[in-house]
Amino acid sequence: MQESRDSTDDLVIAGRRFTSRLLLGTGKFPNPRTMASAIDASGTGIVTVALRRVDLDDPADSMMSHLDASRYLILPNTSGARDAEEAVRVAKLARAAGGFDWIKLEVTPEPNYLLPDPVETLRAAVMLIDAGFTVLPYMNADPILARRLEEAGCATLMPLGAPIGTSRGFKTRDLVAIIIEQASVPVVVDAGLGLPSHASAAMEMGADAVLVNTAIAIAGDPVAMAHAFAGGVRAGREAFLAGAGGTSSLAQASSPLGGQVRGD
Amino acid sequence: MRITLNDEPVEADEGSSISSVLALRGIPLENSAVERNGEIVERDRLGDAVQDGDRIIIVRFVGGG
Repeated sequence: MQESRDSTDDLVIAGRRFTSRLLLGTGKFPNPRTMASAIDASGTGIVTVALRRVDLDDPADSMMSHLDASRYLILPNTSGARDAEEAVRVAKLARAAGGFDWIKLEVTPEPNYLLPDPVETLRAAVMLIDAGFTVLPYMNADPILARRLEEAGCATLMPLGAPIGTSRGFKTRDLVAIIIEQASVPVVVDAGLGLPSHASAAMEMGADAVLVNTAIAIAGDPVAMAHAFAGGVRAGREAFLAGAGGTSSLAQASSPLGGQVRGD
Repeated sequence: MRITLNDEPVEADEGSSISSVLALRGIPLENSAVERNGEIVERDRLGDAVQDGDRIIIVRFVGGG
């Protein structure tokens, strides 16, 4: 494989090009320095952040000073929103705080599994697009919902692999395959991927990108794990582009069947 | 006069600006956004005086997925 990168295989979202197909979340890292090093090691072009009330007892910023907005797109999320109105409120605050008009839309009213509310997510997407946002929605692996979100004008579709933070892997593959088959915007498998092999599996199947946070942030060595995920994503993408040869239930000899040494 | 800052009661002098109330608490304004009574306060209006009973919310970015 050549070392030089083929720029024709960039990830393109809403007209913006990204060389990496790994999106990185910034939650749960042991400290900001490790987070920054993991971002570097991942090679990512998009990092997500959350918006929260300032802690009056500890008001100093411990986050944005460690991020370099000239090197990657900062993508605020609407985590914590329980309905469309709350999501729009968070998105507008994020825009006021940082000037960011790309938003990772998350509406998760249910605390145990943090599954996205499909009705409120679609409603919020419409409101946010109307307000000028570029919307990247976290969503259930539902092909019909995917179609509705794409019709509404979302820039990506981001179906979950498994519930947020569970590291259970790519549990939704059959439905995500349908979403990929139908979508004309990038499909980013978001949430639940726990290992580089999970990321590879999604990319091999034709996902355009993956978003990973917990699996990297809570690893024994988050920087090394960020690098490992980058490799997994790249391997999966290359395999997808190479075109898999399909499977067979019976053995198919890879060595010639004629001219055996035994002579019969 | 009494206002709330992120739901905490705060005494503010008559005529204090929003930015001065935040500065008194040592809250930097970079990369933050302010809501007053549910409405976003644009950066160029942070010099506006707070009114008795105002509910001020200030938010900023933290790590998140």
